Amino acid sequence: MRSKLAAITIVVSILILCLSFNVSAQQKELRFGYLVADQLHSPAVMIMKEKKMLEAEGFKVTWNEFLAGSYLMQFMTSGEVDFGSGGCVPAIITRGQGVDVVILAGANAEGSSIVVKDTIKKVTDLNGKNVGTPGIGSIQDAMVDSLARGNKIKIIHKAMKVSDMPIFLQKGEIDGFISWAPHPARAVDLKYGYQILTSHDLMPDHQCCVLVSRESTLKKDPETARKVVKTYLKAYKWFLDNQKESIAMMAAATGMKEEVVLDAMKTVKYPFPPHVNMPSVKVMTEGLIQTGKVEKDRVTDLDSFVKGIYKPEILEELLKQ
Amino acid sequence: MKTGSLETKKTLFYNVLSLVVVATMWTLFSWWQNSPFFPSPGAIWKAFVGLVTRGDIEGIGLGSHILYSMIRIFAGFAAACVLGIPLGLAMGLWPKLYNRTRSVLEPIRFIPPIAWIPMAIVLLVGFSRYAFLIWLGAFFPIFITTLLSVTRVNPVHVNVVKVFGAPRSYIIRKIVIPSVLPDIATGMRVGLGIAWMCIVAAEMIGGEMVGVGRLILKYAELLRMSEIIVGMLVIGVIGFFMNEVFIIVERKVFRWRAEVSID
Repeated sequence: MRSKLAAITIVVSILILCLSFNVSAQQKELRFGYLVADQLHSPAVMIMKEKKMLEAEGFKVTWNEFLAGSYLMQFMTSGEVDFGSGGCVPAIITRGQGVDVVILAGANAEGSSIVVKDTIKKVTDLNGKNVGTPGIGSIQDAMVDSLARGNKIKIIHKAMKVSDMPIFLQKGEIDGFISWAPHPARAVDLKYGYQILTSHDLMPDHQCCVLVSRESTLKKDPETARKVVKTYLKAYKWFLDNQKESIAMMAAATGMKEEVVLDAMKTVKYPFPPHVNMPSVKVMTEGLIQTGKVEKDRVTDLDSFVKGIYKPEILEELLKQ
Repeated sequence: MKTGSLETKKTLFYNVLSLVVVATMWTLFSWWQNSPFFPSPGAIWKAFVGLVTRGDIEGIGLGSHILYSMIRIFAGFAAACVLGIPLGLAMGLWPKLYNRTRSVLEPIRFIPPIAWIPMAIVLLVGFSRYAFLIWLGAFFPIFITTLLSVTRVNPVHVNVVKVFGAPRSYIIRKIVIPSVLPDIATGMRVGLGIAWMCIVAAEMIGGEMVGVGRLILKYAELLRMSEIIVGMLVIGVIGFFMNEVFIIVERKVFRWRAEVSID
């Protein structure tokens, strides 16, 4: 009786094992990183996630949320994230450190704003004042640098979480902040300050968020990369065709009113097809080298460095089809 | 005396040898790895010199980072001592006070300082925020050590003076406080270590660009390991020296302990 029971247990265990192997063989694992409350900048990623589009392509997806692009880059460098969506500046900085990070497609252009206290009447009033940024390695921090350079003023950077920025502004710990949409719109809605500049004023049509991966990942599994970009394009198209539903999803994801999201969206551009604005990437790279965020001796030839970071081949091939 | 001095020399020699072994192993490993993410001691030294002479990416010198972190730590640590020691003494002397409030004290003890960050952002401003988080980390080791040390005061000492009719205030001043002082010092040493651990968490909140924790985070965003390691080493070295100073003071101040003990 005992041996029969043992035999049945073994057979059942083998069956379960075989079944689980079959499931894992069908489903390829994919680790995707995105930024917290970044739905307005990377709507395609939000749609892919909400509509389970990657899962429909046969992937078992692990979604990882990050506070800022630099943290996403740290995880991509360590090989814990395969694909991700974040600012192009963290990608440039990481590439500057010798990591084979590449941009596969763009997500949005512009989309950041500076909100200041009512006492700040013009940009030069920010001289010697504290401005919150999402961190030294962010595109927004680079923009504050360029604003200060352009106006020959000194702005004190204060790194903080984007969701905390309105609180710091309201408490008077900072005189203004720069963040990706919709956080500036939220601060304006709460009447903590007003929008003095948008990133359009600082650098028209500048590239902001991008879809990134690593050359080694693309080389190892080009088919997965192709599928991810294809799904990304599909989600992007869905977003453009279904704006109303997308706004409702963004409001739910960020916990903000639909009117605030709609207001914030006015500062963001969604170019389709999502090619990367390379001249703006070059300008940003120059700025990063100038401020020492990318070490000068690591970029021997600026043009080839900038060219090397963008791999549009998959995107172009899919667009042709 | 001669044996003691030889032992001191041996201790020093082995400590230097340990450092040399670790540095050699580090050099070999970084040479084998050949990656910017595992810098050699030379690259770390270069980063250290750069931080001292030119400052960080925003021109803030390493000295300023250390100074600000130290001020924050001392403020939080001093507040923890000022509150933790008298409260621990009071609750140790009047256990009912502790028993009747432990439902409040004990759960708070288990809430890590990092969990208080969202509340600290909303309710506190600037410097007080750092001091509060460091205070939270340092308070409980000091408080609990003081509390427990009171209950461990040798009853023989207490009973001897009681026999001679000494009042309670005399027992506290002459028996309890001198007996618990070494334990309080140990609690303070543990508290100081935790205060250093809390500084990175406290400086992670943001709002300031200066402080050793912030320095580490800045370079983490730029993926520059050499500067990150400099920040880590600075915390380690300062913590080590502060601990050594504490031990020297403890040895000098409490020399009587071994001499007067009847255990």
